Order: sequence, then structure tokens, then C-alpha cells
Amino acid sequence: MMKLAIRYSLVLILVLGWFQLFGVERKPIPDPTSWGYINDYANVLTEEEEKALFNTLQSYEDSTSTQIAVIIEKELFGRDPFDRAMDFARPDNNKKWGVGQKGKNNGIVMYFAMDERKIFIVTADKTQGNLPDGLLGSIIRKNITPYFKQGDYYAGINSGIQKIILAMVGEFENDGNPDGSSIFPIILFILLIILILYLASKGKGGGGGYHRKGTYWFPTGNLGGGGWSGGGGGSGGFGGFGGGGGFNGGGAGGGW
Amino acid sequence: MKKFGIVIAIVTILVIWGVSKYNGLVKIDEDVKKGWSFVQTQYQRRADLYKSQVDVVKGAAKNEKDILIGVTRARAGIDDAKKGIDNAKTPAELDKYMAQAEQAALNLNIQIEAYPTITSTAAFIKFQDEISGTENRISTARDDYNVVVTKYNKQVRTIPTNLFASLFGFDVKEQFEAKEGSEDVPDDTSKLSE
Repeated sequence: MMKLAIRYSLVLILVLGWFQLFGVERKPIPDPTSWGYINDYANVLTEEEEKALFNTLQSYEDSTSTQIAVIIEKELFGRDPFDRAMDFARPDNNKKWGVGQKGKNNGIVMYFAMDERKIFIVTADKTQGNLPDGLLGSIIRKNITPYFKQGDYYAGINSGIQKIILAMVGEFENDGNPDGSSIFPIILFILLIILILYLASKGKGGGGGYHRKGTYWFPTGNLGGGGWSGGGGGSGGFGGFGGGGGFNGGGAGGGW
Repeated sequence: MKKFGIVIAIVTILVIWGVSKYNGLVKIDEDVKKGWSFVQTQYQRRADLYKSQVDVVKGAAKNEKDILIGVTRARAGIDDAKKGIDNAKTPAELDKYMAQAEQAALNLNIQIEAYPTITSTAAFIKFQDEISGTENRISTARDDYNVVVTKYNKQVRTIPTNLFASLFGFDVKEQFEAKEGSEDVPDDTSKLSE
């Protein structure tokens, strides 16, 4: 009897060890924060700074449909900066991510790991014409890392975003570009789904949801409190990521 | 008569089943082909980048005779490798010719290491970034290819699909080998550019 117990526990240990072996390979990515574009898991930005960056990126998406996501983590969990950035850019199991509009492949993920002092920016393929790896590398070296070296993370991220936006001018300005005809039905479909979801949530007494939205669109007064407490799904203001796609490994990295 | 009806029914079911399995194989085979063309495109892109970088060196080293000889040699080596990449049919072939192009470019880079006037030009550094970006693109495309080939091979090798897969020419396909220490490559180039 005792022997049997020992044998079983040995098997159990082996099996557990096996899972452990594969468990360390990849730490699952966290859900996006309620700020959507700005995901400061390492708490290096103040709320004011997050708000400012959020506003920049939201109005940028409004005019171009391009989505830029900033992800700041405390550490890399043993992964390569490029691989970790790609974990967010190509989320296998977490549908809440998916930076960029599906089919348009216009997402950009800016990843920062504080402990290792590493940056990696990955781009979806349709942004790479205006934003080749070489340019991205020089943006990291000239516009981001100098600020990061001084500990001014907000200034570094902000100036990086400004440069990227500048480089992207004209790329996704209007929806009537050559492949617009094939995208149009998809947009219509998405709009329809949004309408249905909206009507459904209204039916379920989702008045609160509507209110949350309102506080974001008019950023005054109780924005901070409302935003954080509305963590259920992180819906307010930020309309969610567009489904992403096109992250083919392009991008550049650096450190500070 | 009744027996005949049963046979007809079984044959019909088998044919329908076979057709759907065959169509499934065709579809996944197309996915494999698409994955392959993605991989090949990235390899070609990388070889082109090596060539462009060699041109940058040529422009920056106008007066250094022995560097210009190295430039000519590197160009010839990369061109040669490029032909191989364009016609490669298997992952092993692609890797072989890519290594050839890499070696040709590396030889030149070693030669110019002592010339900071070349290696510190903005254009040269830009190409270092582009090349490491392409290395990442290649590893992404390789991973994607391996995923779809694994799916394909599973179908081709498992009973009962395997019974007619080989009949219609669906053979088991080779995958890319995971390179030990391939992650170090981008690191090295980024060090060069700093």
C-alpha cells in the first residue's frame, strides 16, 4: 500500500514538473486597462499623463482609424523584448487585444519593460511603408531613449508617438483608398454589430454604460473616478481594439 | 436486391466522405503554399537588404581600394545566394542560401569594422535596423509556416486520411528547424549599430 502511494506521488511529481517546465515558457498577457491605448502595468505614468496620451491616441484613431497601443510592464518575465511585444500584438487566446483595424492591418504596439530597460515597437504590415524598421529604430534612439535615460517616461513616450504620427501622415487619411471597396462591407458589418450591441445594452438597462461614455467624451470633473471604477470590461470612451492583424515581425527595438 | 442497395449506400457515403477529406487536404495544402511564399518573400527581402547595405558601404568608402574589392566580392556572393533563395523548394535549401548571403555580408562587415566613418553613417545604421527587423519577420513567418505544416502533416499522416493522401500526392512536408541561439543574431547586429 505504501509502495503504491509512493509510486503514485512520484508520477504526480513528474507530471507536475512537466507542466512547470512548459508553464514558465510564456506568461499570459494581462487584459487591456480601461485606458485602452495606454496600459501602464508598471505604474510609471501619473493619471494626468495617461489621460493626455489617451486623448492624443484617441483623436488619432478618430481621424485615421490607426490604433497605437502603449504597453509598459515591470519586467519581461524572461522573454525577449520582441517576443513579449508580439505576445500582445498577436494574442492567441485573449480576444480583448488585437491592435489595429482588422483587414486594414494598421496597428502599432509600443512595448516597454522597465526592469530590463528595453523597448520594442512592432508594426502591422500596412504601416510599414511609412514606418520602416530603420526609421522606427532612429525614432527610438533619437526621440524616446534620451528622455527615458533621464527618467522622463512620459516625455519619451509622447515624443515617440508624435514622431510616429508625423511619419504616418497620409497613410490612412481617408477610407476611400484603393482597397476601400473591399473594406466597406466589413465596416458596415462592424457598425451593424455595434448598433445591435448598443441596442442590446440599452435594453438591459445599460444607462450606466452610456453615462461612462459621456464622462470620457467630455473630460472634465469626475473622469478619473468614473474611468477606474468602470473597469468592468473597460468600455468607456475607448471603443476597444479593432481585431488587429498583419503583425509580421516588423519593427525595431532598443534600450536605455 | 436489398444487399445491392446497402452496398450503393455505403459506397455513396464513402465517396462523399472521401471528397470532403480531399477538399480539406487541398485547402490546407493551399495554406501551406501561402505560408511558404510569405517565408520566401522575407528571405528575399533580407538578401536585398544585405545588398543595399553593401551599396551604402560602397558609397561611403570611395577611396578605400581594398574595401571596394570586398564590396564587389560581397555583391557577387549575395547575388549568387539570391538565385538559390528564389528557387528554393525546401526549408533546408532556404536556410543554406541565406547562410551564404549572410556570410558574404558578414565578411564585408568584418572588413569595415575598423572604419567608424562607414559604420556610423546614418544610412548604415538604418540598414542594421532593417536587417534585424527582417530577421524577426523571418522567424515569425517560419513559426507561422511550421504551425500550418504541422496541421497539414497531422492530416496527411493520420488514419484514415493517410490511406489516400499519398495516392493524390499529398506528401509529408519538411518543417523549419528551430535554430539554437538564433535569437542572438538580432542582438549582435544591434550592438554593431550602437
